[in-house]
Amino acid sequence: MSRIPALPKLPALPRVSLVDPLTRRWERLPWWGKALVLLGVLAFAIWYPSTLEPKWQSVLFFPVGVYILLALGLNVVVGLTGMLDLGYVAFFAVGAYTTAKLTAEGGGLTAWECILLAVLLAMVAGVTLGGPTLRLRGDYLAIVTLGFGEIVRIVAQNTPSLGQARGITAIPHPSSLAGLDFGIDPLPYVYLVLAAIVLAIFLIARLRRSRVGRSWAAIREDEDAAELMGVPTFKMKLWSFAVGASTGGLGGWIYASKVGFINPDTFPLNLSFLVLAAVVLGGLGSTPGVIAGAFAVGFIPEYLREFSGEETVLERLNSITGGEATDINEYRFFLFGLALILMMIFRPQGLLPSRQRAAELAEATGEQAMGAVAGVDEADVVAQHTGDRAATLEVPDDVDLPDDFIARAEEAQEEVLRLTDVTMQFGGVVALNDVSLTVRRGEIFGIIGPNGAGKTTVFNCITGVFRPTSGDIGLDGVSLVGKKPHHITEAGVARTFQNIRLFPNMTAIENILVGADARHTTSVPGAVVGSPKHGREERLGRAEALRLLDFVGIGRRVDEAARNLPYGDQRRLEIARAIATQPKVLLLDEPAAGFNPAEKQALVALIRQICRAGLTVVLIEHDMEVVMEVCHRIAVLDFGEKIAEGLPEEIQSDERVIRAYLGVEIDAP
Amino acid sequence: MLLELDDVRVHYGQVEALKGVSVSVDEGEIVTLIGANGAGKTTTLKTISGIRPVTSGRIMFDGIDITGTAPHRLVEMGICQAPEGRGIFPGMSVLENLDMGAYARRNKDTASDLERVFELFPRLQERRTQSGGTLSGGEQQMLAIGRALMARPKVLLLDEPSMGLAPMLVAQIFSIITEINVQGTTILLVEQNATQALQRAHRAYVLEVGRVVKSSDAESLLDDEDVKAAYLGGGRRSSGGSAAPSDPTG
Repeated sequence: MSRIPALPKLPALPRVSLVDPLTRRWERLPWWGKALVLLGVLAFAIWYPSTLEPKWQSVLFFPVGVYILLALGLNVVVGLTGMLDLGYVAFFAVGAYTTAKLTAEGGGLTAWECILLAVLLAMVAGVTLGGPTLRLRGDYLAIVTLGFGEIVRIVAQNTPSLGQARGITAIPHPSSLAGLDFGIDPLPYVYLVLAAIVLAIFLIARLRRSRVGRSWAAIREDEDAAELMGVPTFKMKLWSFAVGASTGGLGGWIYASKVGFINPDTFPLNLSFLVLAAVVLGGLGSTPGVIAGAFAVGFIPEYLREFSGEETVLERLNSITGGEATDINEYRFFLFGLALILMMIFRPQGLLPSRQRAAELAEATGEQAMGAVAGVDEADVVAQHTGDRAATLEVPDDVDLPDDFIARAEEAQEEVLRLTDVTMQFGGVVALNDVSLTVRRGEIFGIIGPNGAGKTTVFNCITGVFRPTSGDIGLDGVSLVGKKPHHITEAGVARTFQNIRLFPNMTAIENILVGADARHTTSVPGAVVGSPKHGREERLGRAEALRLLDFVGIGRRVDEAARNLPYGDQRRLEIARAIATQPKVLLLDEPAAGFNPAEKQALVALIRQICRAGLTVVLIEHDMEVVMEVCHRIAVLDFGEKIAEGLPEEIQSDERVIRAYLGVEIDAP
Repeated sequence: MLLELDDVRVHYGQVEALKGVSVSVDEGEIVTLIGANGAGKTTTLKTISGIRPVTSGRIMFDGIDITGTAPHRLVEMGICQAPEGRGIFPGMSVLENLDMGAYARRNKDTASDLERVFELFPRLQERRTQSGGTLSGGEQQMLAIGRALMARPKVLLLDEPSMGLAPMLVAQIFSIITEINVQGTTILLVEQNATQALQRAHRAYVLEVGRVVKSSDAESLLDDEDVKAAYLGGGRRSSGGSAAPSDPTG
């Protein structure tokens, strides 16, 4: 074999480390410290524009201020919820055209009267677009939104009542308000857009800290797992779209009432990308980040326009590119694009990244290249080396499962879960064939069988991931067939996953709160205004979550990101998250996989304790030691059919089971 | 020695995951790494296959220093890993998955290799047109091992091949591992199922928190009191009834 030389190592890229210490310092400030800083920033934002020339005041209004507002709105969709929207400018346009149409040319309304309508219509546009398309994900959604952005512009271009290419002119300015005279002077508009930005920051921050924001984050992290933990994913994605769209509509209103005329060219595709660039550049999901990003995207091109060394720089750029530009302005987007590329190479997480985003990028170091179980080993290693020995091995005996979680379980009927002749076909493949099972309240019911026998398919049918081809599944006598997974979770079924599916970049307690939210009822408006119910649910949810973490034995890891927990603790957290939904039946899918004997013993103790507290458990597991030790009754599946059901000792000596699955008879423990 | 790690250190950010690990594998051996979750077993395998960069230390393969060599080059040289979690290509058929395994080879005549894989795993032949994602867990594990074999590796790295498998399949996978070894492939095996791994392996290393704390021939570790208590589930149960079925092939 010929010698293959090692590749030369790339030099480590320089790290931009100026802002990170600032972020850390900010996080350590007490609440009043933060309030003081924010007030200071606000005071500066009010005072500083008044010292500028009108020309720069104009720049602060547009593009800077408007971009910031749009970026905040788009950040809800892209950064918080993780849906790529390439046509965001459409909502800006809807807001602006609504304003223009209703106020100019005999529309009859004043600008102030129009504000709510502009926001509402943009929201309606968001829901209209979202309704049919939000079932799409990723690339598909991006293309649909891209098309929507273009459609809105082209409709405006071709609709006579919207002025076609000419657009709408003579849009009236708002009347004076609070001593601000909205005329030609740009300064009052700077304050107007500042007020809108502050309002948007405030409202979005409220949403973020509520169950709404948690559900968005959960959808971003793992949409299927979110649905199965009781998050109505479709509805919450629609809300995200609506909130983003209404912010865009507000931006449109402000823009139209200041500038006084709009036409389709005001809303080029380009603008969608610029705002998206601002969000990514600033840091997906981070409010200060997207503000900084939008500021950079809006301000740098304007600044370059005024560049003092214009002549020489222009000449040099001409000589590099062989161009013949007469104005540096023609190079604005070239330079800007270059800056974006450099930025993404050297600081891909953005200027002021959110915690989640930074963690995600740290993860993307080739770990996923071979499809390994996401970061599990790494998390273990990190956890062990930062002072903690392996996963928690003890279950604290003195911590009982809080009563709140078992209240519903105890009300369950004697035969809590019943599968009747359930058949599941995928194309020609029969995954389950006439399977009937009855699970009784308070027992631990095991499902075993060879790989591919259909065990996980049973869980997927119960939880609504699949709809059985025929047969019925009933919880307390109510059929679950055809219900959406989040409804089934609400009805009282919770599960864990064979390959752990936590929300990896959310903290342990946030993971549990997503589960607990399944039982909460605060609406989106309730979260925005901070209704008393919202406050009560948040407090209660947190208290319950803390007790639950104690119960599964990871109480000291409250604020750690789930992905940084050792493997065993991740399994515990997943169980806790499922219990938080207050289930009647808890489905555990191979909880002992990847455990060594000591860890398995701890798991057995935990499952027993859950059962003792009154929850009904259905357990899929390959480890016979665990199964035979904890299960009261066991069903055996083979090739989609139930071949045996009975007590552990009956199963162990059943000829068919031994032949199909066990291989040899094993001793009773 | 075919494969030799000399005082290898690996970091995740600030955290040192391997604190100077030295492991060697001779031609024709089955060597196993055992240890708790997070001891650094998977990291060791990923480091050998070039996915985790080495901070310091040296990895020799067949007399060549391969430290820092790109993973795809290592596959060409004869180091191939069947990763934990299987990592099969879900949208490709079984045959296409196996073909991908031979991707790095210059000699593309894969007919005899396919035959060998299908001999070891008749199940894969039955399913050869089915897409990888629709296979059961056990079949996926077979496919992952089969795919690695298609590269005709000198050393096969196996990460938890028995994870999530039914008891009967566990026994089957372990006898196939022995079979592959008898056919001439050197194997480095990471396993939670330490009893089975030690019964199959020639030599073993025990890892704890990023260090090798014990190394010996596999058989004597089976009787080692510390190892029994920590990894074999011994000493905790009065009856000592092990659920792992004894090896049906002897």
